[in-house]
Amino acid sequence: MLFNSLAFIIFAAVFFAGWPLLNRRNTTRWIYLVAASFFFYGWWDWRFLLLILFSGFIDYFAALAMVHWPGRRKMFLVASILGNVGSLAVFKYLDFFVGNLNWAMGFWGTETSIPAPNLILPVGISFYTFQSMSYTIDVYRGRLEPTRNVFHFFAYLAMFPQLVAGPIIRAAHLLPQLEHAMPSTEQKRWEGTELVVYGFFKKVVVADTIGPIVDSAFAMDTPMASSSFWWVIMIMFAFQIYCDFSGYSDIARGLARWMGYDFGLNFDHPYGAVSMRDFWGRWHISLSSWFRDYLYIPLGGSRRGTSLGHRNMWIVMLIAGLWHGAAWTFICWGVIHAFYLSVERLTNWPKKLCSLRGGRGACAVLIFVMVLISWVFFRAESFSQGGAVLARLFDFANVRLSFSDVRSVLTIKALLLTVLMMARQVYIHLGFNKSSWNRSGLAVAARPVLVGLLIVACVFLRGPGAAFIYFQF
Amino acid sequence: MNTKNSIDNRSGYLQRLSSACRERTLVAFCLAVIVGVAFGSWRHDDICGMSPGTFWVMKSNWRQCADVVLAGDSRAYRGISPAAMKKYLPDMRILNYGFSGAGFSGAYLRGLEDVLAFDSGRKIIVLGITPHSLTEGAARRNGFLTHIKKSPLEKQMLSLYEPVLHFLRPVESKEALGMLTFGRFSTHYFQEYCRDGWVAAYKLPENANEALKPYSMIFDPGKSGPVSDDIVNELIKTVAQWRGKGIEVYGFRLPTCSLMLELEAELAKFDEGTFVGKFEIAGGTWLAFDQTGYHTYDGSHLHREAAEKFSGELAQKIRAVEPK
Repeated sequence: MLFNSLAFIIFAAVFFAGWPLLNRRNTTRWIYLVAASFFFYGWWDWRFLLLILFSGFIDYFAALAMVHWPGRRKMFLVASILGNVGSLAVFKYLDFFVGNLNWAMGFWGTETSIPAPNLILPVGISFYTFQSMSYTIDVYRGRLEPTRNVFHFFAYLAMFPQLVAGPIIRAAHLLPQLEHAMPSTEQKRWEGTELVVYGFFKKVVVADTIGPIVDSAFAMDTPMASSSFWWVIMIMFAFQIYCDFSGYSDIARGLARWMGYDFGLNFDHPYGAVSMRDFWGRWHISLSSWFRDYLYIPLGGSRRGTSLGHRNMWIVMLIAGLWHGAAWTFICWGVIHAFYLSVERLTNWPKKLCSLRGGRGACAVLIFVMVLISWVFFRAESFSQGGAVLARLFDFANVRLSFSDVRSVLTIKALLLTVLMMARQVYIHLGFNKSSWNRSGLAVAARPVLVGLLIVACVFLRGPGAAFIYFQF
Repeated sequence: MNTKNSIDNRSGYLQRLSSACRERTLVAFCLAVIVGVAFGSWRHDDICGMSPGTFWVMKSNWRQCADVVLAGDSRAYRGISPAAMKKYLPDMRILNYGFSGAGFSGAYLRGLEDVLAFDSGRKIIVLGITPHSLTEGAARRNGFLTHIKKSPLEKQMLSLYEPVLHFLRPVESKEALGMLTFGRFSTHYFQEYCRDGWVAAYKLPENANEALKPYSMIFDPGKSGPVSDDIVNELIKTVAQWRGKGIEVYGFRLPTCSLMLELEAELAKFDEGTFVGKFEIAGGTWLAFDQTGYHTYDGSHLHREAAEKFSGELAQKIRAVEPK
């Protein structure tokens, strides 16, 4: 069920009508949440529920077994990780693996080819698998007491606002919140409303308006348009994916706030980042912190010397690329980011540049351009298309933005929205959001007006509806 | 005492905060409703007459209610006005049963016959032919099938909610450009949905070649394909059956622009002479018109004034023919 669908609006209205009544007692609250979340998830395809149940039960029982047989904790942890990574490997990566194996066999002259199983990819599998793994790993590390109530566990794992596209909420953060009937105060409801409205604006107005333009540009077999055209397209894609994904996160956080719960911030204006490290501290925070805590640090982090630190970071970035999709383009995206981070660690160039006058702004622009370049491979349909677009971006002999390019693909609405989102990032980067004006009575009074206008914008400026990009991950 | 005051202060603050938040929510939603209704009412609406959703539901529900049924695709439902025809055929109930992209498949031909009234003294079917309406693609996917397949509940919902959805329709880029430039660069697609099935339309500014680009690809094998012998033969067979039942059948090629005619001749593989021969052998009456003598607003569809003129001439020709 998509957040931007009539079905979801009806579902949410029914759910929140029942929530104040069924929220009071623990068991009824958990059962209500699990039932609603399974209905929400099963709306796509009821068979998806089997996989989440499989993944969830493995971790639920593994965590209980770790407490019951502490001497065999490691074995249960390995079983849990194998179960989770195994289901990811089968449903998400098997076709990719088989395709590459066939290619390799063909390359070495073998004529037989293994048929690809073409399994359906369950929506949001990467999100809930990682969320589920964090539970068993935290129990293994002794940082979390496992819950004995299966509904409590599944209320955490399958909670519908964040189930299919994050944020990836840690068990240590959400399970304790679910143990109590969190009062949904007027203030929380207002904060939730703000988040939901901002989220919908980002998704249905910005991302959905820009999306068809980017799709149309990438649907061209040969990117013949000018360099400036492709820079405009890549800027648009940067804001499409940001607004699509952070919009989903905002809606998820807002819905949780309406229930009385708190999900952490997942995006913190990443295009204002002044270093790649800073970017990863602002982009998909729940995933980058997951990789940091459950992969990078266990691998040794940067404690064992510079070269091992680089190696660990490259491993994490390659896996992060692969997490986003089973394709070489995503791996390439991970490699580009690992390269950026390595160069940054070795030279510390952002810090040096920031110390110069006007350097902070220059850093932000450079980081944004570097991120744009990496997005080429993230968005490209194939490795060769990514290479062709990249070549076109740097074909400075052909920079003129021709009228035919503009007329055939770009629209005034999409351009204006992109400029608006860029202006918003600049506003945040310059720190205007923290100025005293923002706390003044006028600014406080203006917020409901802004929310009201954004609701109107969501209705009248909405683009053609589309699924959230991150569902495919 | 201090503790009590502090608790009182805190509770008072929370109450004020709660009330402020409630007020904010109320302000936001009330403002959204007021601004939304004001904007929706203020913005220019190029659509008039019936609401489009109700119009299509009404058309797909027509049964046994006409003496003259006009058939075809968008060139027919935009190009033939029953009201203009009534001036020359005053006592006849005339309905335009054209649908978007309609092809002359068996289902559509049966649907046409169903619209004719049992009690009619003179039953007439008028076929507005375009090469596209004789393709496999048009027979498989078209507006007629889309609407006819809808359940009664779906149709009811569409009739009820479509006006609301139309009121809340998103602002397109062209409309946004017009608003931002205070109408200087505004473009309009005026469409009036009439109760007799005609959609009177014109565009401002006009682009005489607008429809040529999509039509240059529509006859590709992966899309609608060229004119199909099977579709033509089924149509001819049905014409013969209708004639056997005493129904008068008229056919004509819908006028369009010269570039479109050239394009269709080149890509659609439509042999009009052979088709007309078969049509007349089956008992149909072919009506010839000046193919490029009427003004189109996009290179395909007739401007509302041209449509009215053409419809009058069509009715005069039908009136002039002695019933066989």
